Amino acid sequence: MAAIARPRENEPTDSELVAAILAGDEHAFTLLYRRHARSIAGFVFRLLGDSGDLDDVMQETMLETLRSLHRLQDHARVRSFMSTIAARIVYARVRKQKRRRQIYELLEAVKPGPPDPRERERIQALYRALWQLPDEQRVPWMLTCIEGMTLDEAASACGCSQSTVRRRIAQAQRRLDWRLSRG
Amino acid sequence: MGDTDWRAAREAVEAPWDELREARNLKGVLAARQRVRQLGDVESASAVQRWAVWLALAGAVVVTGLIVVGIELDRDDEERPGHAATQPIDEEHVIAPTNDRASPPAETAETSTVTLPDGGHVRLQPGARIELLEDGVVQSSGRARYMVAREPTRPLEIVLDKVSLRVAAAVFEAAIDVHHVDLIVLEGRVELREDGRWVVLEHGGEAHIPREPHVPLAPDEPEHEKPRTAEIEIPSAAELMQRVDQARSEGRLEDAIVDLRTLVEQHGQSTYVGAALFTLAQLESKRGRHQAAAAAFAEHSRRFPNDPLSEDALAGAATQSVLAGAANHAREFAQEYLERFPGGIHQTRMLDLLATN
Repeated sequence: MAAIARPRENEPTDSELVAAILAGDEHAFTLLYRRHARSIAGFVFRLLGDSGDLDDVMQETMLETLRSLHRLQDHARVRSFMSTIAARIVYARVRKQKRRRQIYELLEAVKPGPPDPRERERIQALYRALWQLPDEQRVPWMLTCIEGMTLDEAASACGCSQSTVRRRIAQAQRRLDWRLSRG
Repeated sequence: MGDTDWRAAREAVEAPWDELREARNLKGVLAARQRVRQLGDVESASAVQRWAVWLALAGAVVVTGLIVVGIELDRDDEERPGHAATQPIDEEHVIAPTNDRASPPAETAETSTVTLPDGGHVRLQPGARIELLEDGVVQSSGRARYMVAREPTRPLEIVLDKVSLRVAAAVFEAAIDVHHVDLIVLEGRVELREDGRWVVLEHGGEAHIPREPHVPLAPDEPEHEKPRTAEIEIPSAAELMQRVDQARSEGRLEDAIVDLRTLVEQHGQSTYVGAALFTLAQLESKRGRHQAAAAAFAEHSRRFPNDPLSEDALAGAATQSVLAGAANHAREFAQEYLERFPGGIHQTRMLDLLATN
């Protein structure tokens, strides 16, 4: 998610689009989708580690967004709302899967970071370390530390209490520190 | 990496998500939404309606069970006193021409059940042949009963000979003989591709579709001496689309274009044609062949005017025509766009195009 899409001049804001969708405007949803799909796809891709289920998760996310949009109180936070839904779907999927997901695709997608070219290796090392954590710890940690979600949003996405999320994030952090310090 | 530097890990990763994938995904979302609306939102159905559905299903099960018992008793009567081994059933009695819908296929030693990709089942009668694909089923002969459990947002694609179906949560029977493809819907609904458009068959709906005439071999021509051209197998539309995705992900755009053209030409009735035309146009545009891109966009818009991508296709046809130096065509497409999609997302671009060409 290099940048969160923002409306251009003269384009309707997210709040206006949500209001229009709730009023039955089909076109408004297309606009909202186009504005946020790329960043949500990036978010989902980072959580999944590969793009195998990306289309399915995206479609599920968008349909669920449409179904539950009437529950969104602050219309301006629709992107965060979509992210939470996407995270919930991803979390449910990864917990059901018996096989461990491979992350070659994710590691391959890490771009070299200017000004320090070694940044790429460090980020790849982080993702490798993350994928050695249990999903119950990895996902909340990624949601809060990488994706910038609040504890409340992460708890909602993971279907547990804030205190549980906080505990899992702390556990994840300890393990990550240990793994990353070993190189 | 410092303690607070985690954001770099977010910004450093770019998802494999391009304009094409986005457009196809949007199309899927809009189509699913439309289907959900047509089917009626199950979640919003009243408790009374739900109970009515359950009662009806329970009644159907009881009636079906009674009839099965009746058939078995009848058969026992016929087979006494020899008590012979179970005979293969006469296929004409499974989906009888009289459309006796309550007669279920009886179990025989040769009947088999196959699990579908969606978790549903298909019960094959002797002589029936199906092929399971990753996202669909092809039935080439015989008789089969499908119990499709797929969620409404992702219908299962089934091809009966050359007849395409889209099915979500339905039970139906299909039979292919030398001359016809027969279909009867027992529960739910089935969408049937006919003359380039989708026709919905509801519960109890039937279709009786003549097959293309079969050219018999010469009487003295042995089976193994068929002309070689008859043995060349064209990949299915789903296979071609998979190949296209693979080729695109590996940067082999020309290969992808060849497969897309094959799909459009050889599987004109497939559900993939719309996506194939749109993708073809985008790839031709990337290769700088704007005339071909404009033609593919225009064909998409003409053949699929109600498709969610039609708006983008028409705008694409206009834009690509400008790049191809065909200003007149570009103006026509832009005007058509403004008429068909007033207030559309490409409106400003189309107005600019008309003003400058």
